[in-house]
Amino acid sequence: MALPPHAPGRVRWWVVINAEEIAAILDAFPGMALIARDAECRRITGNCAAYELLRMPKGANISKSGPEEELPARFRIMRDGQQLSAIELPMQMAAATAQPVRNSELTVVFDDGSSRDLLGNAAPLLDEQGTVKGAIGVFVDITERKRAQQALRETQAELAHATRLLLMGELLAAIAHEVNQPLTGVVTNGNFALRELANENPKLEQVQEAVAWMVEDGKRASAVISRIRSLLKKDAPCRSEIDINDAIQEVVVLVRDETSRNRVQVRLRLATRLPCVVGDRVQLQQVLINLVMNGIEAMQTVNARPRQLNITSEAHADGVLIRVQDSGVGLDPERASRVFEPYFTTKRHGIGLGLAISRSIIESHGGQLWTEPAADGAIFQFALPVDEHKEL
Amino acid sequence: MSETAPVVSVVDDDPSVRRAIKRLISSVGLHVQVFPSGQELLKSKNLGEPGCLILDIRLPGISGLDFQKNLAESDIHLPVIFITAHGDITMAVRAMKAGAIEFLTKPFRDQDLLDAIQVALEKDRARRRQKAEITVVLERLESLTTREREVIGMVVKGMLNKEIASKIGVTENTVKVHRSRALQKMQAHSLADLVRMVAKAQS
Repeated sequence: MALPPHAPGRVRWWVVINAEEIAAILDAFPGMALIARDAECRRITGNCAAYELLRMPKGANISKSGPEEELPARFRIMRDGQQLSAIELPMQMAAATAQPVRNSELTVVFDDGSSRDLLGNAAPLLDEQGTVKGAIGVFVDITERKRAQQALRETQAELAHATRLLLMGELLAAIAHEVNQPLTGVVTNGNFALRELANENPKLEQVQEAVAWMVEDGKRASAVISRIRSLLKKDAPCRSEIDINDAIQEVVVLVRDETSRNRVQVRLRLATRLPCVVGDRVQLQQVLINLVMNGIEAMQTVNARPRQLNITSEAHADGVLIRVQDSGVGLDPERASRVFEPYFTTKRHGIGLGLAISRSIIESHGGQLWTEPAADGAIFQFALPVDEHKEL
Repeated sequence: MSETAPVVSVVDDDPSVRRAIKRLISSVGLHVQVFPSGQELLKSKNLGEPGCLILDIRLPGISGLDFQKNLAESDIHLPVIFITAHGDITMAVRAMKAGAIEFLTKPFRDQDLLDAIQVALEKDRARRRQKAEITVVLERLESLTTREREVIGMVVKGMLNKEIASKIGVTENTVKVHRSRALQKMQAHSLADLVRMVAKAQS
């Protein structure tokens, strides 16, 4: 169509389109386009896509605030599992408030149980005096997108669980070791006690002490096992107050076998009197294990300098800061900027999810996880907010 | 040589294991000292004294196997018994090849550990006895004159007095004198005894 000439410096478009053309355009539009020509939205009609999606005959009134006999009966409109009343619907709301309604999410549930998810905007239609004379609504079908998102979330949760199991596999040897140490104490002390009691004049004081040690060692073994059990659980996040130093020390025990096998020295510098963090202890420990294991791996090829892993905790602006620093091969800036991307890995056998999952865990705790270069190696650190009323 | 009582040194990073082993070993009347790490053990002054070592195969900072190698390089030859919380065959093989007495998996039978200690201490005693004998022979060899040493060297090679005399340009009688003085200084009862001593010193 030819455009009329326009004056320099001002752009003025004159578009001349007749009603049939508008209808044709709207019918070709793949989203739902709806219009009401009264302030109560008692009659709402739409384009082809709208009737198709709502499974209604063309031209029918689809308004949920229309006259009783015209109300569409075959679908309900819901949001977050709740059925919406007529006034809560976006077009009705735009008309009632004379304000646009943006990014409104709805679910249309049909009487056969199927449903479609919609996302859209509604706006009031005003006459020359500014009085509401109707409303328009435009919605797109986001059912597939939502399903994909849900599937992605589930996959991520499964992957998180899978990496946890993978990690547990690696840690299994560590667990055997951790349980075996106190068991060795139990067996050796028990043998000593038997040996001594078989003597004519047993040193009963020593026997008593050995038995007390056996009880201690037994408790220690059982504590290791309950720690493992809590790590293995696939629970929904469970929020509690956490002494972060305590959580760090437990992790150090769990990875002790890995660190000693790789000749890594672990140094802890934990601030005293840190406030408690509120969150999921096991999830935060998974993040720590992940950072520690990454640090160990980064140092595997380092022989020229000590393999050192420093773990520090300190008070931070409005929370606590936990830092894991290795003396490994380090990250160049290009890689450092990508390590948190899912499926990005610098390891030969990595799947590239550890840090992505770690970051999402920290972010779900309202914190941040980031990396910084170190003189030798790399620093990974996270800050967590705290409940300021609680102190240890 | 008077024997000082042997000392069993235990290196394990786990305090429960340390105290239990210490108690067990002292209950059979042996001297025992425990260390949390190899570095701590190296600081101990009586490493040259008779005894044996019980090493955890995974020590903080260094593996027990590497530590065993370091000890040998620092001329500390205490027999080693390895204990480990992992039943790792490759490690066991490496340890035994490096001359370990025994490789015990935690938790071990007390008698197995005590037996291994007896074997280790016996081995240490035998090594020390042999070393002492060699020292004595070397000292005696040191007390010989150059000529006596020269003569002895040829004697143990099986040369006759006559041959020795012509080789070094003296009379056969002079050779006999050197030879009998050397045997005396070496406190050898016979020629065979002398040959045995020299062979030992050369080993």
